[in-house]
Amino acid sequence: MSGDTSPLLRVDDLVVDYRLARGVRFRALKGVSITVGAGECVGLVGESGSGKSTLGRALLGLAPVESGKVTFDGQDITHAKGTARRKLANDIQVVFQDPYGSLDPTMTVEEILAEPLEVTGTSKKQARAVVAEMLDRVRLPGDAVHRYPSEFSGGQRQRIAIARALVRRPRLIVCDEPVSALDLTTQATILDLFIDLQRETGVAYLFISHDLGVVRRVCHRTSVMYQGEIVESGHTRAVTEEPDHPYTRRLLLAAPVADPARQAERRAAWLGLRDSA
Amino acid sequence: MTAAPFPTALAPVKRVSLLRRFLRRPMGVIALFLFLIVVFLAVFAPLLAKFDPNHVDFNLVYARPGNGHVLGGDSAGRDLYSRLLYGAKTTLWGALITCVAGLVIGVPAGVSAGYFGGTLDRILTWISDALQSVPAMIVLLVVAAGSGQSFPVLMIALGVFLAPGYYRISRARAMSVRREPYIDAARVSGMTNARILRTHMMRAVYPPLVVQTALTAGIAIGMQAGLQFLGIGSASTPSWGQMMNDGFRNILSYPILLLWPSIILGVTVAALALMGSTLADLISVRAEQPTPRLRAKARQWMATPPAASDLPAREPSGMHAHQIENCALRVDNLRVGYATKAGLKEVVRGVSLDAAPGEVLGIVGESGSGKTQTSFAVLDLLPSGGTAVADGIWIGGKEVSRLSAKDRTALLGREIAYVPQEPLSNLDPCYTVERQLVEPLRRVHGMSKADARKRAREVLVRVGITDPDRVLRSYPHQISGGMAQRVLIAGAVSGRPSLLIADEPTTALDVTVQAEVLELLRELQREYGMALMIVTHNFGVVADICDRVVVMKDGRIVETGAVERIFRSPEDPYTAELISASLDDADGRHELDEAWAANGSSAAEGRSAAHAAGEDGAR
Repeated sequence: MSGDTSPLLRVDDLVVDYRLARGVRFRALKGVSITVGAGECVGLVGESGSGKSTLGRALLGLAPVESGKVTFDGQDITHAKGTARRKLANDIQVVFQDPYGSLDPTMTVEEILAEPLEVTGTSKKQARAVVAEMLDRVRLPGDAVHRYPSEFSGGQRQRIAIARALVRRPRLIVCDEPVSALDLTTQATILDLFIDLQRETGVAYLFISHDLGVVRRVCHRTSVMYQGEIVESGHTRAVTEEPDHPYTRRLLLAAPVADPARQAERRAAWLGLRDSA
Repeated sequence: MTAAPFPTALAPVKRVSLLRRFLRRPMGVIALFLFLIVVFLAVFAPLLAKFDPNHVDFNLVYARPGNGHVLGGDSAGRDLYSRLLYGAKTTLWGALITCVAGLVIGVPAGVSAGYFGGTLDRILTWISDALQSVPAMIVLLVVAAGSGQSFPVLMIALGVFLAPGYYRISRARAMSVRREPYIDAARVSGMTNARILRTHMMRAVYPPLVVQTALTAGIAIGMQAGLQFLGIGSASTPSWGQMMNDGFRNILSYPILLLWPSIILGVTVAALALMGSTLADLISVRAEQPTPRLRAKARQWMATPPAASDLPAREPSGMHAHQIENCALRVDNLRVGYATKAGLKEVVRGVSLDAAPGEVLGIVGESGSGKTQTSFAVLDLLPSGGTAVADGIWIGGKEVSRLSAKDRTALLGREIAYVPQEPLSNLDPCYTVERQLVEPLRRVHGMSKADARKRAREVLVRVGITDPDRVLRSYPHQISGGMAQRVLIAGAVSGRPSLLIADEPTTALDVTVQAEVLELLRELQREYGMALMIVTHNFGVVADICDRVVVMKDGRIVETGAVERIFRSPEDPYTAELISASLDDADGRHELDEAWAANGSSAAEGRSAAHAAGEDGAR
C-alpha cells in the first residue's frame, strides 16, 4: 500500500513501564516495532492486557515511554512534550472505544467538534463550516449541532467522535477499539464509514481491536500482540486466514462464526488446541 | 458522498432546564420565594425604611410599634424595622464576599489538585486540612482586632476558612473526570492544560458548586451573625447580630427585641439550606423519576383490556414449542411498560416464548429491542417505574405472574438464577468472594456455614477455577473479568436452578475468554439439565450454543425457530440482516479495495448506504 522506504509512522523497539506502586513496575510493552504507511490501515489485535491499547497511548503521548523510538513523518516524537506535542495534534488524532465517556456530556455537538479548531485560532465562522462538512462526512444530519451527546445512540456518538478526530484533517488516527461497544449491525456500518473516510481523505489508521473479524474487514496489514510483544505480523489476509503463531490460531478459533455447523467444527478445533496447550 | 443513511432531521427533544425543574419542586419554590423577599428587602432598604437605622430618638427607646415605626424601637431608641432591613443588606453583602472569596481560593486549587494529582495535590490537600483544623472563630477575632474591625476583611477571612469546602468538592469531581476518555481526547487535540481546566473541568465541577454555594452562604450568614453578636464589626453598621445582642441583653424585660432578628436570620439560613438540598437532589438525578401517581396510572393502563382499535399492536408475538407441563419457562403475551411524563412507553409489546429443561434458548436483537427487559420481567427484577403484565408466566410448570413480589423473590436462587453482563460491577467490592457465594446458600437454602463453604468450593472447582481457596479469599478487584464471570456463574448454579438466564454473559469479555465462558455454560447446562436462556446481540454466540432462537425487534418477536433453520432460511428479513451483519464471510479489506479499484467508488458506497439504512435510526 505504502512506500516501505519512509513510512508515515515508525515505532522501533518501544518499551513502556507502568508504575503500579513505589518500586513496583509492570512492563506493558516489551520492545514493540511497527510501521504505518500514509493512507494505510494497520491492525493491532490481542486480548485484554496484551498491551495493544498501551501502544496507541504511547504514540499519543499518554503513556510513559521507557525506551525505544517513535518517528512520525521523519521526526522523532517519542518524548514530544508541550508545544511540540500540541503541534502534533494537526497530524495525529484518536477515536476511543467508549462512545459514552469520550464526549464531554456538558457540551453540544458543535462545541465538541469546534474545540480542536478553536485551539488553532480558527475563526468561529470557519469552524462552523468545517463542523458542518465533517458532520456530513460522517453521515449525521446538520441539525445535530445543537444537541448533547446523551441524545444520541452509541453508533451516532461514535460518528461524532470520528468527526472530532477528522476536523483537524490529520494524517493518522489511532482507533482504540472503536466498534467493540456497538451492536454488530452498527459495527458493520461504522467500519464501512472508516473505509469510506480513508478513501475520501487518505488518512492512515492504527486500528486496535480484539476481534480478528473487525481487523480483517478494515486493515491492510495486521500485527498480533500477546503479553506486551508482537507475535505475528503480516498481510491481514495471511494473518487472519493462515496464522502461523499458535496464539493467533487460538484467537481465530475462539471467535464464534455465525453458522451452527461451521461453529461446531471451529469449537471442536478450539477445544483440541486448548487441551493440547 | 453517500446519501445520509439517517433521518435528515432529528426528532425534537424536550429539554427541561434546571431552573424549570427547580420551580416544579414545592420546597424549592418556597425557599426561593423567601430568599428573594430577603434580597428585595436588602436591595430596597433605603426606599422601604423611612428612618435612618442609626438615628437615635429617645422617645423611641423600647417603644411599642406605632407612630410610623412598624416594629417599634430598640434599647438605644433606633427604629427596629429600619435596622432589620439595613441589617439584611449587611448580611447578604457579607455572605456574597465570603462566597466569592471561598470560590476564588477553593475552586482553582481544587480543580488543579484533582487534575494534576501528585505533589501539587498533596501540598494543597495538606493546606486545606490544616485550614480546617484551625479554630476559625479565634482566628477571626484576631483578624478583627488586627484589621481595625474592617467588615470586608473579616468576611474575606471567613471565606478563606470556608474555601476547603469548595476545594474538596472541586478536587473530587476533577479526579473522577480526569480519567474520562474525553479529557484524553482533548489533550490529543492539542489543548493546553490551562484550557482543559478552564473548559472541561470547570463544566464538570459547576453543578456541585452551585449547591455548595447555597450551603456556604448559609454558614457565612450564621458565622457573621455570631461575630456581630460578640460585638465585632463597626458599631455604625446595622446588623442582625448586633440586634440579637441587644435583644439578648434585654431578654427578660423586652424579649420581642430578640424575636425579629432571630426570625429573619432563621428564615434566611433555612431558605438557603433548602435551596441547596433541592438543587443537590435535582443535580444528582439526571432523569426525573416517575411519580407514584404516574406509576399507578401506567399499571392501570397496562392492565386494562386493550381497546379494539389497538388490537393488532397488542396481539402476542412469538410462539410456543412445548406443552406447558414440559416447560422450564413459558411466557404468554408479556408486556413491559415504563411510566414517563409523556405517558406510557411500552418496551416489550406482547412476547410469547418457552424453553424446555435441557434446552438453550437464545434471545437475539439489537439494543433497544426489549430482550433484556424480557429477561428482567421473568426474573421480576424490572427497574423502578417498570410494570410487567402477562397472560401467564410459568416457571418449572408453575404459574408465577400472579404471585406476590415476595413469593417471586423466593424463586430466585432456587428455581431461577441469573448471570449478568458486567461481571465485575455485579460483585460487591466490599466483600470477599467467599462471603458473596456462601451467604446466599445459607439464606436461600438454609445450609450450615461449613456446608455452604464446601458447596461454594465445589462449584468453583466445577467452573474451572484451579485455586478455589485463593479465589474464595479474594476481593472482586483482585480477580480478572473472566474469573469474575466464572464466580458469578458458580454463584448462579450453586443453588441448582432449573432455569438459568444469562444476559449478554460474554459481551464485556474478549473473544478468548468468551469462548471459555460459553464452553462452561454449555457443560453446566448439560450436567444440570437446566434450561438456559441466553440474551445476546451476537449471532456467532447463537450459532455456538443455542438450540432455538427468538429474534426480537422493537419489543416484539419477529421470528422463532430452531437454530439450524434460522441460519439456513431466515423467514424474516430482519433476521437475515442481523445474520449478515456478522463479519465472518464478509469481504476483507483486500477484496473491498480490489472491488473499489475495479468499479470506482459507486459499488462500495452503494453497499455501505444499504448497510447504514438499518443502523442506529431513531431512539
